[in-house]
Amino acid sequence: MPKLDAALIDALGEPMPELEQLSAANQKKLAADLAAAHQAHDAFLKQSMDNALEHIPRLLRGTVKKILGL
Amino acid sequence: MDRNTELRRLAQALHKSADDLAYLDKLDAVALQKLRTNFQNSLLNKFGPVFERIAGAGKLAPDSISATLCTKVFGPAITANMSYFTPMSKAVSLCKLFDADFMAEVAREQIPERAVDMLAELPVEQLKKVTAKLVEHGDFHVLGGFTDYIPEKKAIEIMEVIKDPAANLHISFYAQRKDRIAKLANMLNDQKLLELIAAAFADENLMVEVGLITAEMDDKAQVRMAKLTDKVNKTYRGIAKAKAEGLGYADRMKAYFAA
Repeated sequence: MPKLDAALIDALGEPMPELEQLSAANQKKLAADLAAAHQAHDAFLKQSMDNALEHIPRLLRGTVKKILGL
Repeated sequence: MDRNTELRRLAQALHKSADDLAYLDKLDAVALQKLRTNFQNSLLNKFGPVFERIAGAGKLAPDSISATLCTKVFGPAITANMSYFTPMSKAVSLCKLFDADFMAEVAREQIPERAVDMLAELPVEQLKKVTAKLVEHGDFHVLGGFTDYIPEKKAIEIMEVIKDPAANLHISFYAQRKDRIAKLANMLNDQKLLELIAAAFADENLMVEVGLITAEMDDKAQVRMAKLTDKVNKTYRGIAKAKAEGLGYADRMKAYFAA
């Protein structure tokens, strides 16, 4: 049985032993699908954040970003 | 737990079709559910501290200002993520100031497992309006996820706003608690159930869904379903039996087939 792919642990943030049932190729495929969904989600949230920040005067945006840790 | 339901929910979360995830065939329903919740938690954990800070900053603002900020500045995605870090009383007060369209948009972005307390606290009238919007837009996967966690008494009232019988089946398609759907379906009058059965047998996937729901009913309710199915079409139970035997849930529908 293949060991858990490191990319899967990265994508999920923690190991999930049940996924060791998958072949190495399918683990890679799942890791790629998870990473793609992560990227899409991140891009969507970033866009939402940028839209929200547009309501703040330009001079203050950097400070607000810093406060929020963006 | 139904594996296909869980696969559909994971596929939704990954923006894929269930067929695209056929390579996960070695994972059972429990593993698929764990994979989905771990993935959704990982999404939230990444930006959690940011949402926590935004929510924290708004704690002392009057509700009307916070609500305006949510609808006009933050938008539904940020509002949904902030909701997990907002005190429940504040979150409920804010929801009362949102219109149904915005609430539906927020619901689309929420993780149902994280919204359990909110579902318990929100007034049923508001939930009905949001449900009607989500049905209108065909967001059955969202409603299916929430159906598992909504208090049963509220679920019964909410069902009133779902006029299209096929919509109930589409929602069930994404709901893990088929027992709950079975209970709700059993509360429908004969006319509504006849419509639901007719809708189910018009689509193979929905036929399986109504089978899984019937399988969760007690013998008396199964006999009622059988009589109503015969009223719609006498050949339907035979078709349902072949399908149920093929997919392995026929043994839980004995009373339905024996009636």
